[in-house]
Amino acid sequence: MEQEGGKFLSFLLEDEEYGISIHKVKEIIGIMDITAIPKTPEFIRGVINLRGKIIPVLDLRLKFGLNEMEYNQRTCIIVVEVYFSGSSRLMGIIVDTVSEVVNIQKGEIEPPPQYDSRVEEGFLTGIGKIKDKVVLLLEIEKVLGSEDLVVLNEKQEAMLNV
Amino acid sequence: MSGKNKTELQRIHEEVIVEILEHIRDAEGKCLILDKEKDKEDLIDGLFRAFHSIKGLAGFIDEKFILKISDKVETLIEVLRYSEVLSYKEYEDLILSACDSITSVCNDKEIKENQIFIKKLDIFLNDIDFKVNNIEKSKKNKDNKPEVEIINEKDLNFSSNQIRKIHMNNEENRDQVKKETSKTLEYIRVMPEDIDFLSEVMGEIIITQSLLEAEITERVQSNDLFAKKFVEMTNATMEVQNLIMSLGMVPLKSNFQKIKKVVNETIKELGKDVQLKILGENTEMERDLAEKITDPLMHIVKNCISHGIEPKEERIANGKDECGVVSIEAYTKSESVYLEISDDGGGINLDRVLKKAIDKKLANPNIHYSEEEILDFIFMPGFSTSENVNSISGRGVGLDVVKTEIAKIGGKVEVINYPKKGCTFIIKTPLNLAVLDGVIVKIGKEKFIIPTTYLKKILQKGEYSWIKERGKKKMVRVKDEIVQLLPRKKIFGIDNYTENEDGDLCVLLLQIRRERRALAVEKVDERRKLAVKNLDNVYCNPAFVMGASILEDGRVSFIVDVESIFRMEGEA
Repeated sequence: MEQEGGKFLSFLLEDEEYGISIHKVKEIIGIMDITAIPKTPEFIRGVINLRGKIIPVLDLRLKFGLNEMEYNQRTCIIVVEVYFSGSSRLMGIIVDTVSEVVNIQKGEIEPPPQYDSRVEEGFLTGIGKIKDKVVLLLEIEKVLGSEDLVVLNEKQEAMLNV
Repeated sequence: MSGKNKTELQRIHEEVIVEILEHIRDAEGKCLILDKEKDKEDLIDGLFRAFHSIKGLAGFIDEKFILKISDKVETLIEVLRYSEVLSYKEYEDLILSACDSITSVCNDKEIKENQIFIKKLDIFLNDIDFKVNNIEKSKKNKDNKPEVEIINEKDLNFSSNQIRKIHMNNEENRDQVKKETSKTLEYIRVMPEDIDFLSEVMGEIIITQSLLEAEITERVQSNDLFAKKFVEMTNATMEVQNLIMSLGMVPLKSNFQKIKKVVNETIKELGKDVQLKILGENTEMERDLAEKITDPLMHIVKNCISHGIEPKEERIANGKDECGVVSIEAYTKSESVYLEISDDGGGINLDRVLKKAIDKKLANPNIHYSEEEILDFIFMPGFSTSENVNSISGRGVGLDVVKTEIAKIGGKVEVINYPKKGCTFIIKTPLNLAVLDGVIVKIGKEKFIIPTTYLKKILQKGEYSWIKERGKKKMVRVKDEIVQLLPRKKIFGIDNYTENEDGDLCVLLLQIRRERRALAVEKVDERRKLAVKNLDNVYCNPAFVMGASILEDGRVSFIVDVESIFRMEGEA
């Protein structure tokens, strides 16, 4: 799949800059109290209360297998709206910090490398190159809908049948 | 919100349908008492007006089926109005069937294409024509027929009212069977979704407010202007919240009417002599809940009629009145709605129930069961005492389904047996679906909510002792009873117990039906009413969770699904 040009919200994880389509972003909030969900993978940090709505949040560093970092003043939760099996959901992703909204033309986007150690295959849709910066463009639905998350539900179901 | 995607025309169409259904309910109510009521004139006038309004509304939205039916019924009522009729029973049935047909057309868009329905309707309409002709023929004072058109202007104005979306109910009010003093009521139509949205936003305001409150009490003195004004605001929001809560409430009246209708059919079908009494139909309940409670309630009522009330001969032999009485009574007590269904039949035969339970392998013949335990069997899956399954009590479902349905909305059902005198089923449900009575406990580092319904007892230090297996806590001894400990590791993923200063834990004694389990918790915080939030958004919804609530500090806390954790076994 070829990545279209457009506006992206860029954020930092470790030393890399990543971008997700601005259309998916609902809002950006600072880090807040998270209620852990027992028996879930570590990268699923738990749920938060977003003005009365309960939404799950996951730590993108952990999801990508990077080193864990203690949350601080700059840590952000990006609330994204994603579509799974026909319905939309809100989810939060925890990133080091949000940097800016960038406009990347289609011509400035290179296809993702065949093999990239930084991010699991399939998550990356392209590499945006603007001025002196490199932004790794993510397909957020793929990241949040990846197998281990979906399987989780089944695992929980199976647990009951022991 | 709700109406945004619909065109204005669709919206009006929907509203008209709602209004038609309201008239139908009104007509049904009047019809049911038509034969018994002495003062029929008012009732017939009311019926006439209802169908006349329906006809007008149907014309307005060009709904040909409803137009046809209401037109015929209107003619029938018109004829009845000026005739001497001995019994209204058969006309009552006709009008009720008409109400059913109109309701079907309103609720099911495809029915209009259904050939069988169309055929049946044709036959039905011919039947009305036939009856109308008969009455007219037998009418002696044909010549004195007065002018029919005495419809007041109000009725003719509904379409413009409709567009203004405001419905003046004062005319209708005047027509009520029980004449009330002339007070004027005005209603505005509101979509239920809008109320939901309103209460959701209100929830957010209240959470934010409680967060602010904690902050304010910490920062300023209570006599500070800031604090004072804040208290004023809190009081105002509370009033608004109470109002919002009451907006979503409906009286049980229309649900009872539905039950009355079905039950009368049941009585007819069984050929029994039973009178149905209804008390407290003005008791209010959340709209959704009222809908959900109707079917289980109906099931119990039917059950009382078919199983409870004895055959006539038996009643006479026992010195009872020939006519059996089944009553439904609704009332509100401390945030709960109670529905009591009583009959004056033979009561529940405990020996027969026990025998059946043993036959069905639900009970152990070697165990002595208490009365309470035997009565519990009637709510178990696979239990039905009726020897011959008929269409009334046996749809293949029993009281177990009733119990599950009621449990789903956070309610309970109990039965009190009076041998030879009858029995009473008591349904207790919360007033509001979105509110749960729960106990907040700390397990590991997180707070969880346990629904109070399942909580038998909170055991403090000294009230229990541990039974360990290879140094690990396995069971709990409470007095003479040994209760298995629920596996915290398996359920919550929490390995260790963090014991308090006393070097001990609190133990919750949980109970589902007759099964008991113990759950060790670090701390019991408090018991209170909590607003239930669904977890639609959380796709990694753990199995032991049935929902969540937001605590005063703004944190999310999970509500434990006790039914499902009872099924988990493993290391405690």
